[in-house]
Amino acid sequence: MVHLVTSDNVEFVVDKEVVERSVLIKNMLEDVGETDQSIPLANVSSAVLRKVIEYCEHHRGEPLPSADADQNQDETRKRTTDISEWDQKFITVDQEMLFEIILAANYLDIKSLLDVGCKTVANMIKGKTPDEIRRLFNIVNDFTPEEEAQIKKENEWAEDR
Amino acid sequence: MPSILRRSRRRELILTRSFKNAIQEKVHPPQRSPESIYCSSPVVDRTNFPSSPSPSTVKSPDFARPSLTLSLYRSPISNLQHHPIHALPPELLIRVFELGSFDDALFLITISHVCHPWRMLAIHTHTLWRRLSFDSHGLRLWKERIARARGCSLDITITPPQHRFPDIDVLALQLHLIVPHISRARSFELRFSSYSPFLWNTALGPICHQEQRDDNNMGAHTFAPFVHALQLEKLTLCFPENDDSKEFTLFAGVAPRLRYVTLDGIRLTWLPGLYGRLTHLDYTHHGFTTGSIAVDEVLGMIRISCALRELRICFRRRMLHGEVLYLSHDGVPAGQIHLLQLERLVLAVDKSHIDIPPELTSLLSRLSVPNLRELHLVDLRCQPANRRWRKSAPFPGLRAALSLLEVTIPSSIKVLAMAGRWADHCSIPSLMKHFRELRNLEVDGVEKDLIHMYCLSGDLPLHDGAWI
Repeated sequence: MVHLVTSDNVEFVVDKEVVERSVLIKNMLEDVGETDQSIPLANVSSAVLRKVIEYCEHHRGEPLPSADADQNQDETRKRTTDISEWDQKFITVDQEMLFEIILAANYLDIKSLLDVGCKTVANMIKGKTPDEIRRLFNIVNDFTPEEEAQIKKENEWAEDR
Repeated sequence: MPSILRRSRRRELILTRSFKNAIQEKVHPPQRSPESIYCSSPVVDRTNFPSSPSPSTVKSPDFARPSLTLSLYRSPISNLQHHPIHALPPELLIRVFELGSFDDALFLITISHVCHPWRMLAIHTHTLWRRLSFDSHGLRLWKERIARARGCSLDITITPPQHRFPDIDVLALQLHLIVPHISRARSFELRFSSYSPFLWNTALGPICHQEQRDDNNMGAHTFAPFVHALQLEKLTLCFPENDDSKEFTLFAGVAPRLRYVTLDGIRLTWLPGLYGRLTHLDYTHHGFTTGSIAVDEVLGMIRISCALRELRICFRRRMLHGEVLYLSHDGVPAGQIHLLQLERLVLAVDKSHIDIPPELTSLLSRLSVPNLRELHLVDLRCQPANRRWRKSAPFPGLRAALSLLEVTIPSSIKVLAMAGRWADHCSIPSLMKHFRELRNLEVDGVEKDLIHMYCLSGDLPLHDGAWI
């Protein structure tokens, strides 16, 4: 069992096989060896870690993506915006939690969870106009007049058939 | 006159509370005393312990979610409600952009029209633009993508929609755009599911051995170097309906990095400079040759690609109108062709065949694959994933083919998968006796219990999972 302490000082005791889906923790455990000492996760709150552990529990035993997965084009093909049914249910959370999960997955180096989170955000953006995206994410249109003119041109060739 | 680089709006420097908190945390990091708490339950809430943060700091949303303070992408106007997307570092935003743009040609354009930081991020991440998946959009879009990809290698895909005849003129224009950049192609994929005459000629003509007149050497011709596929790693050419038996010599014979090839319905000149370093070959024979000529043709290819680790072979039956000219290149020597690195072999039978084609068994009898680990026997007529799939009777020649497998395939393979007309439950015990080190047996897509299979075969399992 591995002891993890979150940023809000909550301790989790998690099965080693589950927590080793995090490359960060796996490497840490390999470096430190067997220990009862807690691993502090300063960038992850307890609410987020609970979700991350739920994900890792569900995907326990599945092969981890290889280090050169980014280079492999078949892997890239798999990484389209499709998300499995369970993952989709899992990631149906409020936006704040969604982005926290993404940041935690990035920090803990859990590639598959990071992809699920990023795919979800990509799917939120898909099919929307720039104006709708701005409204969705509270983004200000800060383009200069020159940039606006360039964008207008780009819209013309983007609409070519 | 104001500089064009100057922004038209002035932005005031306003520090958000989260930013201040982050600075304060850096300057005065919170002191926490180490604790040793015995934990019997999976979760121990430490918030009531003295070392927990003070109530005032806990109230701060940025303390509860410290990752927010690491943001590089904040909304430039601070009085707006803070959205968590601004907490994502650039590399994660790029990942979102990459995933979103995979099957949507306009995604990146839309993204780059949202705000200045996103535009800069998208435009300056050249790898985002490398994927050229030609569809119904105009060529100006793809020209711009090639320009924005700068020096990056390109992933080129041309796959007209199913059940729509490929437009030869559009295809010619697309190739005209691509050819000057073919040396940058990392992957090149052409798939045509509907018939159109001389499609390969239109598509592949421009990337074959183009000749250029060399004025300094009167009368002589040299190869134009721009069709050399110097960065190409993966090639996919599929046109099952092809009826043009012409043979193509691609990329003037130069593709030093080519490793993955998938072919269906095409004849290619199999040059060592192009295919000698392949590790993965998925080959469906074009069907313009049959019998021993077809076997020799495929053996000749395999002999050149002797570094293969994965090989999938399928022979297709084709109705030929008239004779096809076939000039044998190199005589394939008698005896076996050795594929010492082959780990995975897939033998597929096309749905048009009523029995295992003799070409397949003949080819198999000529292969030596001492290090094979996986054997997959695939029947394209019966795909278990297909809902309308119904189990058919086994191939008439299955027994003979399985006997051949026991001679050709090493008994040390670990994975055996058989489906459709390959799967005959009566033959499994005898296969189990031969393949004694199996770790995985799959019949019609269902993994079988090896212990149960062992009982049927009458052998005893070893404790490490092997069979005696």
